[in-house]
Amino acid sequence: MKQLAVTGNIGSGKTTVCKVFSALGIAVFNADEVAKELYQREDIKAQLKTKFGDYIFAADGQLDLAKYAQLIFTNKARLEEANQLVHPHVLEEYRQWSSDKQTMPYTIFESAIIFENNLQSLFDTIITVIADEDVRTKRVMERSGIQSKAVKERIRNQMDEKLKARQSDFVIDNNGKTALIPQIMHIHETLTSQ
Amino acid sequence: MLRIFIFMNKIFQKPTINKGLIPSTDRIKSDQLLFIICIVIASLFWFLIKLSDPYSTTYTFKISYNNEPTDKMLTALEDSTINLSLRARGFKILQLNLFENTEEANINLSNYKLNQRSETEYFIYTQPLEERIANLLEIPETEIQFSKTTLSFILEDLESKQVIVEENLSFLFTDQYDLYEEASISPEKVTIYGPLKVLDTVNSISTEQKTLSDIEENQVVAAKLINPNPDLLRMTPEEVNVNLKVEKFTETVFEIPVDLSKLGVSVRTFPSKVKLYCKVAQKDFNTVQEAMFNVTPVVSDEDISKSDKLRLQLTAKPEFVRNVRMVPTEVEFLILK
Repeated sequence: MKQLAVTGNIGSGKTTVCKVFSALGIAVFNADEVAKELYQREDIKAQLKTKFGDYIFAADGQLDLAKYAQLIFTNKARLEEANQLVHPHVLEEYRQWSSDKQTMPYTIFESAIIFENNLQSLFDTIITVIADEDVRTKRVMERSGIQSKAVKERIRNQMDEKLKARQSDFVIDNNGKTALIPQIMHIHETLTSQ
Repeated sequence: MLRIFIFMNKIFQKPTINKGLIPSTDRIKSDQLLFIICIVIASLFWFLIKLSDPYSTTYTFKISYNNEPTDKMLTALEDSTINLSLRARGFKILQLNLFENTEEANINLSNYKLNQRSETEYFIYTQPLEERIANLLEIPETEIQFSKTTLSFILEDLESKQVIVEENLSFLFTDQYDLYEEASISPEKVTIYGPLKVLDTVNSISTEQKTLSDIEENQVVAAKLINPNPDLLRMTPEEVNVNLKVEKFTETVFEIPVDLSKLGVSVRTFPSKVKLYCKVAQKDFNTVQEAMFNVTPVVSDEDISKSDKLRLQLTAKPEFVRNVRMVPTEVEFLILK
């Protein structure tokens, strides 16, 4: 079984790409969703509290994701710290998740920070989804209701998508002008025919 | 004559300086004034004598009619002018020129016998008109003569039909306000009267153009109707009321799944839901639900294998939402095997 990673910056359309792979019968591990679940774990919450303080937690003791996102996405150093704290646990979950999928031609690990966390060596194939900054900004604004300025700040704290694309095996253009599915089908057929 | 010559010579002769006899200036002026008065009186008498002589003259009248029969309409004039020759004393002609209308003759058709020449062509004899004018001017009828013995015109049967009214008003609303429902017109139909061939060309009547600004509440606007053919058509009523039901609107967005149930094949779309941006009246805001909308692909089963994308259409929406904008309007898809 090959291990494939789908990455891309905020608003690039990683999740849409992974939904298409999923419809083709490929198992997709969404690292962000798993990370959100991990934030419910008491040991992780305790480590976050030690690193960033109490104020990112709501009165009921749950992590306030909006405050947490505002804290880490506006500062590169804090983002790296948060990733280092959570990602070892995410990877552990991924290993367990993929252990029973050995018969599949390949599985997908969806994460925005493959390159930022130097995880590329873990995967056989890396796909980067790219889209122009304006397109990504608009998508995030519509999806999350965040102001343009805040979206651009988050984008600035991410690695340049051109660098990601250069280090990837496949690049999917998701500007909305080129059809997505033919690009995915091409990758799928390449991977399954090998 | 000799006397007059001597008299004038006396009046206008230069004063001569005679020893011991100098004529006064006042005397000269008085004589001149007397002479002018005599001239004026003589002219007046001459004018009065001349006015009492008989003269002949001709007037050209433009013909118009009124009081046509209630079931008919005057649609054309075959004789639009008529010449009237009359012989009368100068006094009478002066009176006519000074005090009477000698340019237009308005004929009340209810006072005349209408004679039919063909299906729509009618005429009246000018003889009764001559009598009336003779009586009016107090001159013998034999001294009056029209250039025509008849006056012809077209009278068509007056038909009626009901036509719808179309409002031609522009509405400018205050921010967030809009029409809650289409402006209603009261009455919705009006009756128009006229010849059949004209009625057949009219299917609706428009209101006058009017712009209403800063609208933010219900209004009833009176609007005059525009007669498309004022010469040949009459309308009842001539004014309608336009009723505006106005509400405050807000924009909202719904995420609606693409309904693929009508496609014969198993398909998955990307995205599976589309966003519908729409305006809803605030009073309906709590009523509107996602289940009231339906979005389906446009393609048929045969076309789907040839398409790259599915074009979407909104097939159901509540009546009270408006300005619905769908994003995206087409989606990519996979045929699942």
